[in-house]
Amino acid sequence: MAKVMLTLKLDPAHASLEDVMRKLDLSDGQIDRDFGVVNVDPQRQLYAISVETAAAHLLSRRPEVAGPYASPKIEPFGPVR
Amino acid sequence: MRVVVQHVFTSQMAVAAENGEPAPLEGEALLPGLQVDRDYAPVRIPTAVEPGTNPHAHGQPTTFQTEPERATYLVRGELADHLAPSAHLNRHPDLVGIFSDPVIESTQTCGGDRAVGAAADIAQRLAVDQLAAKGMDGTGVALAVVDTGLSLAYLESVGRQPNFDAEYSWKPRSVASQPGQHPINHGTMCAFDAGIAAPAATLLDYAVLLSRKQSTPVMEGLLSDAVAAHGRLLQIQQALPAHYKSLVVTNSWGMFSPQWDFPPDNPGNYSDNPAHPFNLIVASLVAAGADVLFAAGNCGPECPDQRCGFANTSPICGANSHPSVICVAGVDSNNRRVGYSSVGPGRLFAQKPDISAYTHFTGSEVFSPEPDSGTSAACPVAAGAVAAVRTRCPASQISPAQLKSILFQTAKDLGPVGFDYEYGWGVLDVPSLLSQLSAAGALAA
Repeated sequence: MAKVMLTLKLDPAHASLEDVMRKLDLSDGQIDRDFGVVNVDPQRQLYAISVETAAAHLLSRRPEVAGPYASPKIEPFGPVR
Repeated sequence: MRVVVQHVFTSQMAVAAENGEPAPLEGEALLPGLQVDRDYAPVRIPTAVEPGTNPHAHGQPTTFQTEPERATYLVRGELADHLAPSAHLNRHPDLVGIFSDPVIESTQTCGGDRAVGAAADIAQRLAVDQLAAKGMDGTGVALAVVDTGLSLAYLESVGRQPNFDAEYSWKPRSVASQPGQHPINHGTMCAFDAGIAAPAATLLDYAVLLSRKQSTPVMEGLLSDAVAAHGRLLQIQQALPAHYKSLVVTNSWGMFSPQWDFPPDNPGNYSDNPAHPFNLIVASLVAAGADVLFAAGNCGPECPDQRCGFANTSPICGANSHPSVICVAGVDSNNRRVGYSSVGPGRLFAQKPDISAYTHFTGSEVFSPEPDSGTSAACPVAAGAVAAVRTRCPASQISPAQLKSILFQTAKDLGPVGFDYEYGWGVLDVPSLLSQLSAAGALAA
């Protein structure tokens, strides 16, 4: 299932995967556990998560959540073809 | 203006052409204002034979008369001013024609072209001996290669003795191979090229481009893997172990087509959106003290990679165009921009690329007989130079923004004067950089 990213503000003391799943009512199949919860902007206490696309669209209606953000494929810039 | 004039046969002209001697002409008598170039021997031009036509008309010749007395002769010279059209009408009877002699340049280096120099030449261009003499070899600097993963065994097989930190390396969970033991590919080339200037840097391996496709010719990952990787690097930077003076991150990857992304008007778009999580985390990493470099990309207008799909829109997008990072264009060892190096403006920040560094040389031989090419090679070459500088000028003394500014000020200007969208501020100039750091007292200790 395709995944996209969301961002949300969290208290660093409560920024574990379990904290986020509880806060956003997410199940195991909806959130990318391997990605985890990534602090993308420590100054603003902003964190990113990776979730299944359908769940992301539902969550994006919540005011504390921003996104969904693209996770395009990326490739090496060489050798030149 | 420089011209070549076409002269009828004379026996003296034929002898000069045969012997490579100066043209036996008085330019002024032939054409007012003409100064004949005495260093240029006349060149014999065979005459086309096409029955019923002017023998000097080279429209669709089928055969040529090669006898000296039936040929014409080209002589090079210079006219003080632009040639008046009347000169063509009233020309001397010995003149067959007068033609411009424009400056010509070799075509730019493109994908598939043979290497322009070798790693030793790049080391010379980077003044690695001067860096080493000042103890600037990357010792104590962590150099993270965010790519397809490293093969330490390969690096050792080509004579490198890389320092490696497995504890601070990382890979996506879906990648089976271990850090430092990944298949020999693009990331290993990048590590080799970073090692030209910083052979003693400690390599950190971030194999994000193995997460989706782990086979050649194209490996690929997802941007979310790069977010996770940079999240890990941000943690390292925030609590940098005492044995590391600085962290330098090299990224030789990106997108080849806007079709891979959400459209620009979508708020979740990556390419044009500074609020995208990856653009945020890159900015945070630089703010925390890491030097982050990105390749400009291989979608230059002269010979773009066949994967490029940006059409008339700017290909330097997303974090590759972030104002905080150092975006690296590619030049060959002759200081000429390679034709595939993407040109600006950038999409997040217009003034991109920032600087140029060397590519298209025989180096790692990972892709032999292909050279180390692409802005993929230029980026780690520049990252290695930055890591070497960090040996004695850690980010605690000179912030990434300050070092970036010094790099720009000391770059050897290429192309139009000052910044331009092809070379940025110019090619990395290590001697000038060292002079400025020394003058600023940064190398005193």
